[in-house]
Amino acid sequence: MSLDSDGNAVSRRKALKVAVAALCSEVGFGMAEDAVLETLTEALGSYIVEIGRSTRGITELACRTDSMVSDVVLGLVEMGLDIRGIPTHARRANKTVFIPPATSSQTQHPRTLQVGEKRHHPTHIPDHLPPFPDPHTYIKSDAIRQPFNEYQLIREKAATQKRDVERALTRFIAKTGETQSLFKDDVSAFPLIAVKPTPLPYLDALLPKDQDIDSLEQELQHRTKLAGTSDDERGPAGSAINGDSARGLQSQESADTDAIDNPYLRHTRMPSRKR
Amino acid sequence: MASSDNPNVNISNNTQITTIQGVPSVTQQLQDKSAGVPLSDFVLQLEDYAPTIPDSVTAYYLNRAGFETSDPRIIRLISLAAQKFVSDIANDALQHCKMKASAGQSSKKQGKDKKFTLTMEDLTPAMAEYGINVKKPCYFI
Repeated sequence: MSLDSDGNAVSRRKALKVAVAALCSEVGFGMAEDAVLETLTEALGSYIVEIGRSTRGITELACRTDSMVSDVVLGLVEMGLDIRGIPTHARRANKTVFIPPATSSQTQHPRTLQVGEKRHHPTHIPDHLPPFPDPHTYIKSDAIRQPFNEYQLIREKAATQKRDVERALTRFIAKTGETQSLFKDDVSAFPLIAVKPTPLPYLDALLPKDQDIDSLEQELQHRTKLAGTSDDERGPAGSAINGDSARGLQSQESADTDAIDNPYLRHTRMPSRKR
Repeated sequence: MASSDNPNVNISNNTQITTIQGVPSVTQQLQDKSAGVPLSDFVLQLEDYAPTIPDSVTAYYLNRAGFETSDPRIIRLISLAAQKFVSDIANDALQHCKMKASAGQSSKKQGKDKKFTLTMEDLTPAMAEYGINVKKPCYFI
């Protein structure tokens, strides 16, 4: 009769079994067989259901919907119970009462894929309806975040960016190039980028640099290759003596060589036509 | 209250009992002190009473039968009636058990076994008196 798969029914059945055991111990039994307890539990459950059914039938027969004590009495009499003994039974001395276990809420299994909090129902929706899904499924928010306009934040951001960039670059050059160390023992503690001494250090201070540093370097390399190591001194001097026009030509040459080096900037080659 | 002894017609203002032929009238019932009246008084005392079977359990089983009430005293009355039913069966089984125990043991021995064990052999005849025939297989295949 009872559905064992239903959790509610199982818990009620257990409570009923406990009540049956309490009644048997009140009567005087110290122990009982499990089959006996199960039989009595089943009988008790069926009895309650039968009382309810017959009482309901009698109530509806009298064209009422609310049941009264007289309906219950009639139902009990019809089932053959002696109702005069009920008050006596109620006043027995050794009655045992047990507090039914408090209804525990179902353990909420942690939803692993839940993102954000679920919103509560608005007031016009009753609570027994299923809850809303995750808010990101039905709320649209702009993908573009408004940029910071506060001066302080921007300033802080710029400062941190600058510091990070400097640190990263210096570290990179220190690790890939030559380093000098401050301490004798620990070489790798504070690596400093090795200084490359230029042959005529005062030239950099005297002469203005208003051309590409790339082109200057390339020109240096170009000159050293052509002239050899003996013309080291003349390299930078030669570049200093030449006028701006020559410098412009050289820069153009270096720019051309740059373009040629870059495969994407080469001149297109037309296929040779054979006629 | 109608004072005539006419078994067919009965007019009463207080109670809602419809009489059937052959059933004594209301006054006769009152004079017999039927169980219905003291029971209705008893029900009024049930508000603080807690029967052994919890209210929620009884209400659950009654709801399965289609019985719904807003008055908890009726639920307690029903649970008391069901308790009495089980307790009567248990009492009869205890009598059976004691009879067997007293027949088996002599008075020189401990007398009564203080701890009675409720077994199927005692329960089956007790339930048979109430019309419930229990047949349990002694072994399971």
